[in-house]
Formats: sequence, C-alpha cells, structure tokens
Amino acid sequence: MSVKSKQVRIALRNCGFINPLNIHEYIAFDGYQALAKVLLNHTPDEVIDIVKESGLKGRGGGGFLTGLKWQLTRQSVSDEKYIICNADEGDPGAFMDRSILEGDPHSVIEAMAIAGYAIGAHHGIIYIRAEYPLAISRLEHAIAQAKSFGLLGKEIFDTPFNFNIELKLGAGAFVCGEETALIHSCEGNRGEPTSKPPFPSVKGYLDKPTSVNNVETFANVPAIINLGAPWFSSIGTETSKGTKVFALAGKVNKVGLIEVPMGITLKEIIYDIGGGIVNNKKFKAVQTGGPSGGVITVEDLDTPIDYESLANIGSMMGSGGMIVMDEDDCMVNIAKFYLEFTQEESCGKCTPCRLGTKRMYEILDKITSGDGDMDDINKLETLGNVIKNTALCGLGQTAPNPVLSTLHYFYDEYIAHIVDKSCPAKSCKALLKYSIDAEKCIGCTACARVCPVSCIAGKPKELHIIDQSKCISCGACYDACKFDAVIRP
Amino acid sequence: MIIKSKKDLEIIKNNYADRVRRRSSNKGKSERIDILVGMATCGIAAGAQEVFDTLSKEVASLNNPDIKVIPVGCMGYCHSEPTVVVCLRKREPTIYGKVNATIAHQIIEDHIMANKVVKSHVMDMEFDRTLSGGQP
Repeated sequence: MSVKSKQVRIALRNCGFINPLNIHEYIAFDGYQALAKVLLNHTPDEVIDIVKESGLKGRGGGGFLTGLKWQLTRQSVSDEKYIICNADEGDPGAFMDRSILEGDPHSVIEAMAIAGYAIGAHHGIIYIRAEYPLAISRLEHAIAQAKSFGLLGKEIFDTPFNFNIELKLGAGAFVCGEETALIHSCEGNRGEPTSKPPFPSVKGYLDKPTSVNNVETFANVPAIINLGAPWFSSIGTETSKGTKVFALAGKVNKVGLIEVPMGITLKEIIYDIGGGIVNNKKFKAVQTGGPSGGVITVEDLDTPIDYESLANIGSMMGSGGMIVMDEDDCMVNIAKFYLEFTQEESCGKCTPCRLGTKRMYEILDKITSGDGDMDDINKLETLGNVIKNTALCGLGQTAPNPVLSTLHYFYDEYIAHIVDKSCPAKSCKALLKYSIDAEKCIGCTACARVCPVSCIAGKPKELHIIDQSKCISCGACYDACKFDAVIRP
Repeated sequence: MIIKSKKDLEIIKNNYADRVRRRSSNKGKSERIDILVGMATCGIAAGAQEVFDTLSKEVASLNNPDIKVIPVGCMGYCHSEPTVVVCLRKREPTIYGKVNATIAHQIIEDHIMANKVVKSHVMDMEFDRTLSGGQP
C-alpha cells in the first residue's frame, strides 16, 4: 500500500472481508448497530432528516434524494406501506448490485428495515432477477438468519416495530428496473410502466405508498446512520455526496469493481485505478450510464464526476456501468449495440419507444453496412428527440442518448461511414475491403487456401486477387500472409 | 439466540471480534491466520471453488485451529480472479491473484508454513478499508 488509494469503500465496506453466510461476522463489523440506533434512539422523522442531511441520492441512476423519497412516502396517509429494493440490475456490463448482494447481503436487509421504520412500512420486498441464483440463495440465507436472531420479524429490539422481507424474482426484463414497471411485476402483472404521477410514494405496490430504492443506495444507509450525516456529506462534491460504485470494464488493464468518491476525474479512474488502456492504445471514450447514457471523450477526462457534471456533458451517472473504449472501437457500432439492446427490451406499450428505437436501430444498421446517406443523420436526430420527449418511461426517454451523444462527439465517424463508406476504427466488417499488394505477393497460395469463401484467385507463383463482391472481410488472408502482401483497409 | 438490545448485539460483536480482528488489524497476541477466498459468482466462475477446496483440505491436514479459510464476497479484482488474501500477525495482508489449485498449495507450503510470500502472484492492494470496524 505504497500509494494513497484513490478508492473509498462505503457501500462495499464489507464486500470481500466478511463471510456473507455468517451473520456473526456482519455483527462483528458493526452490523445491525444502525438498526438498533434508529429504533431505540430516533423517531422516524429524525431518521429521514439524517438521510436527507447526508445528501444521499439514488444510486440506481436517477439521482433523486433518498431522504426526500422516504419523506414523501412517509407523508402519504395509508394503513399499509411498502419498501422495495430494486435489484433488477440489467445494464450490459454492470454487476455492482450483484456483488453487494453476494458479498454483504445483511447490509441491504438492515437498511431496508431502517427505511421501513422511517416511512412506516412493515413489509419489504427485494425484487431481484432470477439470473442471479447465488445472490438469491445468499439473500434467502441471510433473511432466515436475521429472522432467527429476531432482527426481522415482530417487536425488533423490543420495540413495537415489526418488519419482514420477501423476495420476488423477476425474469430479467430491463424495463422492470423502472419503478412503476417493477411494482406491476411485483404484483404479478405484466412488467409495463405507467405514467407518473401518481408517484409510487402516493400509489405504488397494491396501490399503497411505496418507496423503491436501489441496492447500492441501501448499502450506504447503515454507514450513514453509524457515522453521521456530516461525515457522509464531507465526502464528494458540492452537489453529489458520498461515493459511487462502478463496474469498470472494457479496454483497461485492470477491470474491476471500484468505489470512488464523487468528484474524482475520469483520468484518475482509467489511469490510476484501471492501470491505463490495454496494449497502450489511444483512449477514445468512456460509455457511462449503459443504454441510457452517453460517451465521455478525451476532452472531459479531467471533469470531476458527479450527477450534474455527467448530465451537463450529455451522459448520465446511471447505475454504474463504465465501459472504456480505445481507438479500435467504432462509435457508430457502439450506438448500434445499445439501440439493439433497448429496442429488444422495449416493453412495447408506448409507440415512440416501440417503433422509434426499432427505426433508429435500422438506420444505424444501414449506416454500418455502408448503405447510409446524409439524410439518415437528420432522421436519427429528429427521431431521437421525439422519443426523448414523448416516451412513457425512463427506458424510452433515455434510449436515444447513446446515439445523440456519439453524434455530437463523433460526427466525423458517422460522416466517414456514410460519405467515404469507411470505418475509421476498422471495426464495421461490411466496410472493410481487403486487397493484395502486387509488389509484395509472391504467389505462395497461403491466402487462397485459408479463405473460407474461396474468393481469392491466382496460380502458384503468380499474383493473387481478391474478389471484392464475394469477400466477407474475415481477415483470415491477412493473418495467413507471411509477406505483408494483404492490405488491411 | 434472539437479539433484543444493544447489549445482546455487543455480546456477539465481542465474541466474534477476536475471530475477525485479524482481517482489520495485524496486531494483537492472537496467532490466528485468516485466509480469505473471493467467492462471488465471478470468482467461482474463474475457479475459486477449486481454490477454496484445496486450501480447506490442506489447512485441515495441518490440524491448527488458528488457521481459517473463509469464503468472502467480491473483492473487486476482476482482472485477477480467483483471488486469495492472507492475513497474518505483524504483517500487511497479502493479496494473491490468478490463484489455482497449484498456487493454493504453494501458498500453504511457502507463505503459511515457511513465512515466504509466493511473489509471482502477489498483487497491489487497490483500496484502503477506511471503514474497518465501522470507524473512519
């Protein structure tokens, strides 16, 4: 530990340190102290004030103040209220919530009980995707342990507070991460969003006031109660407090799960924590916020990362996926990848999202196949803005972001695909045309023998020629040639 | 047992404090040695179960109740799974990456038995555990 670490672990404080199957170890690391503290020493309103004062914002991506969400739910008058933990993590390449649930399930259980006390709920639900079998089994184990220790159930810490948690398994639909769709799925209905208002804090699960919070948000709560709001708000920036967990992936040397204070720069994350770009290639961009976010380019490497600054540069915090891209990644192709994802995951309820994302995907496919024209750019922009403004829920409203963001920062790459019919990153196969250098070719036939579609003609010791109409741009000839005679586009 | 008060919580905390102390501190008189194996989905997919089984088997054969092999969650080092942390008295914790059954065996033989770190698989610690024991 020679260099001062750039990471600060709050949500991940116990991950990798304690045995998640042993409640004793969680208690030994101050587990359930926060629950005891709020039940024995604080009124629900005081708990809400502490969380509000800490400045904790929703870590699922939206960034709504957690304390305020709890307060709004508390203020709604009802005989029954619910607290729901959103563990429907679905961004491609994101695994923050899974790691917390697998490594420290009790921190989420404890925080849900605290939240239940704060808003006046006696019943908690963890909505988790069935694709996380290990997280589910560890949660079930932890809930059973907490019950047997009296930390869930009736009259917890000899107070009148009763609280129980049940698991609901989702089938892994991206839209179910949206809180209204999640609530409908919990109720056994189709996972489709409904328009807000009414907000879940007024009318949520079974039409009762409900607060839906993310796994990572919950994991922060016991630490805030134990160490105090001033401690938490001393970490981070003016507007975004605390830390954020990121799943650092892509072309960095050290991919991993990291937790950093708000306000850290992208440069520090990629070079100091991530160990730089693989093979010393040139950094091109980082994609944050998954299918709802955008790209951050080299210009913003020194921008402090928080909710506001990311929104200002056309991306978003999102749930914490962070994919690093180098010079070999084609930005049009990246945008296409995310649109393919969102158009598949669109629930189909509202027209802008159902049809709009499909049309955008088709246009991007056309461009990457070399069939695009300049009018396609206008169509993408118009469609993107219409979908953003008219879609029913967060999925649709943010789905065009990867396209609009790459159009803004990498306009030249779109033009290269459309006008020059070339892919600068050499990633779109349809635009790559291999050829043979007449000077260097000695007619060894190695390329013709490996060509899977037999499109290279030529006799031994004579110049070989690639039939461009049949070539599938697989690159096998390029790899096979020992004389550098195959020219890569 | 049913926990009904802060005192009940403190009893468990104190009973277990000795058992987990080695992970947050290398001080104290206890000879306890903790060997942590990262066993989240990602670690297991990379082969952590085999590493855990090897370590457990070899530790059992040593017949020393002070040495414990403990399955833990994700440590965050996706680039070097499976990962193992060795916590010894008077020594900084050592993090091993890309461990397999052979390296696990070597860790027991060299590091635990002979106090010689298996240098080829040591990684840099990437974070400080600022909240150990709940204190900043």
